[in-house]
Amino acid sequence: MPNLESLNSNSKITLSALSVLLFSFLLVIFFMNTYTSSMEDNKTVFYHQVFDSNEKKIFLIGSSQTGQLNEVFIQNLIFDPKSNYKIYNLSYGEDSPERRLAYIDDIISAKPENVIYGIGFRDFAKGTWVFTDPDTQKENILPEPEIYFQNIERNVGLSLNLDYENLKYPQAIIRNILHNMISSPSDYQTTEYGATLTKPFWPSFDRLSTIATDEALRDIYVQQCEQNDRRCSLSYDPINPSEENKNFIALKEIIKKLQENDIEVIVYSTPHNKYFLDSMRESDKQIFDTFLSIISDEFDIPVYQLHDRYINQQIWYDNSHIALGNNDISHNVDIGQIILDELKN
Amino acid sequence: MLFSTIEFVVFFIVVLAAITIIKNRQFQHLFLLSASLFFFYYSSNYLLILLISSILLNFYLGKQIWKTESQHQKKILLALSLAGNLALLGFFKYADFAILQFNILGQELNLNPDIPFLNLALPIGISFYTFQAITYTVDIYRGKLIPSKTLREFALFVSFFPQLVAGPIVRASEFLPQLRAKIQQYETGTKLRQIVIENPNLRLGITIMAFGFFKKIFIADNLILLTEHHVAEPELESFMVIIRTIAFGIRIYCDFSGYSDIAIGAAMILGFKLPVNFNKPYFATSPSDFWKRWHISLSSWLRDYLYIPLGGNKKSVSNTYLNLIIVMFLGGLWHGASWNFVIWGLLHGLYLAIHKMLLNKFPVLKDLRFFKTKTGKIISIFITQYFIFLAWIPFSIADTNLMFVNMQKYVFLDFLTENSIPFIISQKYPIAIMGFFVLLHLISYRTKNLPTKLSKLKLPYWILFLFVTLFFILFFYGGNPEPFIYFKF
Repeated sequence: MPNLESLNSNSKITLSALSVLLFSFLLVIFFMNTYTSSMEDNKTVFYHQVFDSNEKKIFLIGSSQTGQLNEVFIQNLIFDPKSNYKIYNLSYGEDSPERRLAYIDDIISAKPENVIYGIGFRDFAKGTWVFTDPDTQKENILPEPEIYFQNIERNVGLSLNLDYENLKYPQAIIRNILHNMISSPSDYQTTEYGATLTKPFWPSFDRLSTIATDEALRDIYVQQCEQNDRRCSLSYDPINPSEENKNFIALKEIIKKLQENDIEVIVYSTPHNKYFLDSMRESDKQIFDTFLSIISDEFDIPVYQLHDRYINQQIWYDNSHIALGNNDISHNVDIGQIILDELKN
Repeated sequence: MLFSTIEFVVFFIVVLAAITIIKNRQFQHLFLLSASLFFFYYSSNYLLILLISSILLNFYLGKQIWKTESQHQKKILLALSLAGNLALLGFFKYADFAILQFNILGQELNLNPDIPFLNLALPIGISFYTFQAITYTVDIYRGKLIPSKTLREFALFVSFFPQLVAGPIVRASEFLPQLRAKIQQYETGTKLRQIVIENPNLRLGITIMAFGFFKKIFIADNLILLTEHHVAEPELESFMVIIRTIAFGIRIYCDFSGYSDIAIGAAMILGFKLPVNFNKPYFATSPSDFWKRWHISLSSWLRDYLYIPLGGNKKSVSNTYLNLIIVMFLGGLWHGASWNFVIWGLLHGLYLAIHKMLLNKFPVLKDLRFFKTKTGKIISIFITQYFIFLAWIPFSIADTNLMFVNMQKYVFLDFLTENSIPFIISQKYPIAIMGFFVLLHLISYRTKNLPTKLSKLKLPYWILFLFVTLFFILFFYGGNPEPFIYFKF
């Protein structure tokens, strides 16, 4: 006869452990949902604040690549301290035109003079963007249970109506909260590493500050490909052409709305380094170029191609982010010059 | 399959449920074997064939070695087994490295060989399971082990999923008896020798696993960005190198010992005892003490299957030093086909040899009372760890130039702070985690058998411990399950 007492106790321990696991997961989900909505509140507060009526606002928008621009440095570089112009960097991580479209009315309500929109390849491609090297892709002969499981996991998440992407990054939110707790608002104005009054949605991604060596950048590329060996080719889907690409349609909608409200729009392609560009499919690069041409022609707006301008400079944090630490890097200077040129025009 | 994923949690729960339901030992073994092979297949796909080949080769050669009367034939069979295992390891792990060195040498000699790389996928865990398989045939040859009677039993030993991909390196003589004599402790009168999930093992196993997950996900994974981001030379300062090096030391310890903890905990729940792999290595007071505390299953493997066969310390003093260096050189190479691992191994070989040399030249050092005092111990720990952490630089940086610049900055402090202060500000979060680790490590050093003590807490307190641990793990989860560093080896 099995020892019933032991079995009962086992069940108790197992149930306790599983309950703790389940409860902790639920707590994370609750926390993430709450925080996500407070982030939304934060955006509302920013856009609906009473701005100085004499202030002429210039908004830099885009994702983390634009977040790496130092708006304070650009401001000091191109404007006199007494100038009415003020540059805000309103980028946020993982931004895409579709997500940005949700805030376009807020942006318009803040009445900026100019919007400078940083657009990158990943704005138009679905899936997790991992570097791919099509030549080294290895096909597996046998079925891959990992993919089936991930699909199940994703479907369960969807059926429970979970914001899957947000749930993936509790650490970033916790870090942001900790940063806000230990830094006073005056710190924000002086530090270039965390969120500031002119960069209100950029969490304390304090890691993007130092310049990596070329070897390290190459290694990142190699490592990412090795680690994602079997999924490399799946991790970023090919960019859909213009008529099917929801993000491209959203981008056009954003530009149209801004123009209807007499806001000047400038688009630039966000910079990447050589390892990133080398790993991309040629077809995707061509489609991206077509997108830029369509925008430029259809809306008659200036489009600056910066995606391959800095490939040989030692300014990179990783393969798609210029390091934030250095003020005088040419990318900041170039964006400053673009703003100046457009204002003169 | 990574331990730090939902997939593993689901997989493990299914395995536990099935083991509880299946009452027949043979079926339990069969089920565990199938689960282990599935676990490997999940991440390695067709490379499963290598694992199966290794199992078949060593099982049949082991049997033949045992059966054969002639010593000469035994030797040949053992050589065949070693050649088979090392060929498998060498071909998949070192072929491209060898080709690269050959091409470089050829270019130096103006031969321009330009042999193309094979670009083989590195099979996960190959270094671990081949070493395990070697213990089997060598121990049979030495007469220390009776070969496994069934292929099922041997296959389960090699492929047992908790330790399959990154150890601890379990010896056949430690594992097989557990399979054979796995009798329910609280014997119930049945003749079934079955795997029974026991209450104390379940609690302790879950506690150890929680420790492992905490080390891996909360500490190690949160130090990745700091340790993998190499600052370019003009900006690099000594303080930055020191911080990064300490961070890497903490990360690799938490990553690897975290894996070992999860493996040991999972095996314990299933009723198996795996050897301890780490014992607070950063409190080691000498290089030899370090290797009694770090990756113990590898260092003892190297001692028993390499150092002693080479002659160990039984020959001349100079031979002992040379043996230490050779063993650590090969130990370094075992980690990966790259010169930085070789340099790491050689450095450790030198540390061990110099330490031995000092003790031989000045025997008084052994018994010096000062080193037994608290101050003496602390000084010994700091000196030892200074060199251990110096060696982490080549381990973590493959680029030779960058590695030497970092080592130079580590040894010859420049006391520059222009870039270091912004660097520290920008890395305050991982630096805080490093501080937290030091605190926890100290607590765990001073509290003997911490996991056992925690597992014996009253149920509500134990649940609270689990909850706090999970809170840190889940709320500081970085978004992507990061592979364990030792998966690459």
